[in-house]
Amino acid sequence: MLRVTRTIPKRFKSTPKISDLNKPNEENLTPEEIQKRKQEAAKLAMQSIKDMTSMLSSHDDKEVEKINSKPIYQNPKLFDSLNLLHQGQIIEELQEKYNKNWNKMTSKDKKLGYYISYGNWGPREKFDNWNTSEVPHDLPFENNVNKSINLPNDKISRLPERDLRLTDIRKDQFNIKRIDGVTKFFIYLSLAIALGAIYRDKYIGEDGKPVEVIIRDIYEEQRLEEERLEQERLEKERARKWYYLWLK
Amino acid sequence: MFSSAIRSSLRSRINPIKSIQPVRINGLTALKVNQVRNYSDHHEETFEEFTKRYEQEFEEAYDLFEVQRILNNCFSYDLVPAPVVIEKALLACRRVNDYPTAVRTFEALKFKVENNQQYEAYLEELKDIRQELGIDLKEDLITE
Repeated sequence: MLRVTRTIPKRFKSTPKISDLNKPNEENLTPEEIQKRKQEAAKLAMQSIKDMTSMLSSHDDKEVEKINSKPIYQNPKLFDSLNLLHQGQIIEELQEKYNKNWNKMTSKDKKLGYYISYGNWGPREKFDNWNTSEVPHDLPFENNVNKSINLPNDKISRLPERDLRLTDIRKDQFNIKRIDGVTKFFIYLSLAIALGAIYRDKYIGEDGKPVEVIIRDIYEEQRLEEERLEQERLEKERARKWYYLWLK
Repeated sequence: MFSSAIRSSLRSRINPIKSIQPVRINGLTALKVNQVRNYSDHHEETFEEFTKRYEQEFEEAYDLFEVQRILNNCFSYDLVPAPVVIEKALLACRRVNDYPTAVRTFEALKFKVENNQQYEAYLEELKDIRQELGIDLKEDLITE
């Protein structure tokens, strides 16, 4: 049986790392210390994973965290400025209260609920008389009551529909042709830039107006001239009448 | 022979579906389905019929949109709905768990009635249900 033994050349032997040099020999550590080290390593790993996930997530935690709803109940007007998620949180809280006995709801709950449903925010932004005793702007019916209806068999009829889009307060909302000044400015600006770019592209180019380069081929011109002369000569020859021969 | 006799007797028993009939429109055969629209489009009816219809509609309303739609419709006539209709409307609001709509019902009633006395009479008539459900009036709830 052949037995081969090889010695590793010195140049291939790895030099010990500095960290390995500083590390105390693990054999000298007690089991408790080893356990402690393992726990620390696990903690560090967890922390690094958390850091990585926080780096990857783009949203701000404050925007998605639940808010303290008390100030909203105190001042329903604050509801307007909340983001959709927080508005949803408040509406959910209120809905839970609606689902229970309404007698147990506080006055603030009821006020906030009414404000959210019919207050001057969102699509009802300009409805400033929501908290007055005036007729609400979005009441979809007239109060033309027929006084002659008293008996069960009296005929009733439907009143003409009130088109809420045509009420003064809603006109602006439903006017889709109107564009606000800033938007109009940017639309016209972009149109002007586009037209300018098209003109520049067509007539001027990137580096000013392009110079038309005319390349003259002298040899080609000479050849064409010769060809022309030859043609003329041939035509002259063809133009000779038969009697020229006799005249010569 | 026996089997064909059974088959023919069975065929004769099957009634054609009357609601779906082929109809010829511009040379094309189309299926005509008798549709029923359950919308509140009744031009001529008596006060009693109106009351019964809206009582039933509120009883059958299954979500907030339906309740609000029926409310808008029942206030769109040349009469103030009877207290029993308003009561059904309030119960419908309770069923779909929407408090603001219940408050709004009283608000609508206030603007529909001819005068304040009539409104007070309605409030008196609906006092029990209002207390039972815990519905406040807008004028009590929201102060300027």
